[in-house]
Amino acid sequence: MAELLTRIMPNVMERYSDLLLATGETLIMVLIAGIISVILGALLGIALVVTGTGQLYENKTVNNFLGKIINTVRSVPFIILLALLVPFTRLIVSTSIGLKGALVPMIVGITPFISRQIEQAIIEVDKGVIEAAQAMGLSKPQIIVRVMLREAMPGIIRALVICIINLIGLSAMAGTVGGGGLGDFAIRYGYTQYMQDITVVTVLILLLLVNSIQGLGNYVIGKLSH
Amino acid sequence: MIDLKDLKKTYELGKLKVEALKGVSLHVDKSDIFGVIGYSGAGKSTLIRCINLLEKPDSGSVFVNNQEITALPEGELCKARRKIGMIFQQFNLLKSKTVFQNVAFPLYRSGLSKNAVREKVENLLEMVGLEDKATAYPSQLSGGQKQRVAISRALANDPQVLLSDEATSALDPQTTQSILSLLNDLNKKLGLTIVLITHEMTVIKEICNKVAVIDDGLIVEQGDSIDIFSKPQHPTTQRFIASVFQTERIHEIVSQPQISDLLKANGVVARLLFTGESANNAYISQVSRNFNININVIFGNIEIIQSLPIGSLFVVFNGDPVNIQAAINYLQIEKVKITFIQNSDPYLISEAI
Repeated sequence: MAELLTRIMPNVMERYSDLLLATGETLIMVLIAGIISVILGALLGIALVVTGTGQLYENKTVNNFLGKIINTVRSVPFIILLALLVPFTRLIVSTSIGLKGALVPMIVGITPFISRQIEQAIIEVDKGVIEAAQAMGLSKPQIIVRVMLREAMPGIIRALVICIINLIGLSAMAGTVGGGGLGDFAIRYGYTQYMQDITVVTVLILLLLVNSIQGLGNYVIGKLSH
Repeated sequence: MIDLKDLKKTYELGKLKVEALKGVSLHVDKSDIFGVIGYSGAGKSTLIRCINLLEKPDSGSVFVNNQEITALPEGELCKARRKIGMIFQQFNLLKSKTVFQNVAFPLYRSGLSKNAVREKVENLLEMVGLEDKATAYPSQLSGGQKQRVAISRALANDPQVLLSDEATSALDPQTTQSILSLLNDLNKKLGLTIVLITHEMTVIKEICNKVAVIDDGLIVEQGDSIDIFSKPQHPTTQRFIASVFQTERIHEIVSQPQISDLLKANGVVARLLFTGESANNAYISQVSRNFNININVIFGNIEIIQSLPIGSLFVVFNGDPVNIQAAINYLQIEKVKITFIQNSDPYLISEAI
């Protein structure tokens, strides 16, 4: 078996442990960036909804300000954002390379996207239900947590799945600035050294990763939707 | 129980200003089922939403149970709202929660133990006849069942007042009936004060003991249902009442050939309105015998308002004009309300009388 594998993909078998390491790095990048940006994105998404017209904490100035910032960041391509953010990254994590250096641009890049997705999910919660909660005597924070977030949960999970999948893509690009991971691995060996089998295997691993996340997401959404 | 004093509310939609309420005052007694009826855009929805301040009036005050709701700070308002239940046209149940969880929802942080909550929710579900649906989700229920869940949820905090915002408007007539009789039962059993708004006179007819008619942001008429049904004063009220008795159909009917033949023979078309006691007497046969005239009933109906019958009959009197006059005088003495149908038809002699 090992012999057969070595014949089909000699370079992969030779750098077997490096590949595992790279996969681990990708997972860590996606996990950490995912957790932080989901929290930030959720807060921003909620803020975008509740400051909107006719909402619980209506505030045009804040709403406009948040909207503009999010749109601005979203309009910069990620690869340019990587370069643009170098001074900021240094300021925050005192380095612009390695895992830490990759995380900051990943978070900045994905958070506006997540917040728009979460905003969309929350805004679709039936206004009548929010009104009913007000009539029942729930306070505004209670309505946000117990009604808006709860009722929007299937939509939020759907948004998260899309975002995590996007993050995997971003991690491949961020990896090239020194974060490591599968992207870096594939570029370094598969692209620059013409090791085609490494590129193919990397793609297969990413395929598996994306599908597992999508599958898990669909399962959770199925459990939550009635 | 509920006092609304000079409520005013104007919406600004860009440059357009819409005066939804132009100074509305209402008084609702304890255990009333108070109906507010109006056409869409009359301001009735704004009015009911002002009672629990889902809509903040520009001026005026709201008192519920001697507490001035309009003067309460945010936190106190939340507390006060727990004692004012509300149900909606679109039910507004939480989709992500089961029937049980929906009813238990307002009891969160109410200080009740888990077992007490369970017992309470089970009792509430039993009261609305849905004890077997506790684990179902709203999407698995029919409209009528959803409204029953909404009613038991609205009653979870033992409110003294229930506000009903077009609660039966999305339901079919049969389900509407069953929801209305449920509300009626709750009113009798718990002494619950109910304020409901509707655009259907049949809803008022079914359960309300008092009615207010709202038109263009103002209450144009209010009083006991039986009075409003038997003696409507304002044109809007008259139009609503006419829809129940289908009085507008008389003109269509008098133009039919068979009827106009009757009229040619010196007929007088009139509407006789019997209320309360007079609805039970055999006036038609009695009068026709005693005054030697023929009375043809063209069409009519009897409605039961607050367990009192109101009968509306369209009849044609035929015979000697002197006898007809005498019969009409007699009926008027007997407190039967008579209106003559004015019609361009030259054969009508109503003006002559």
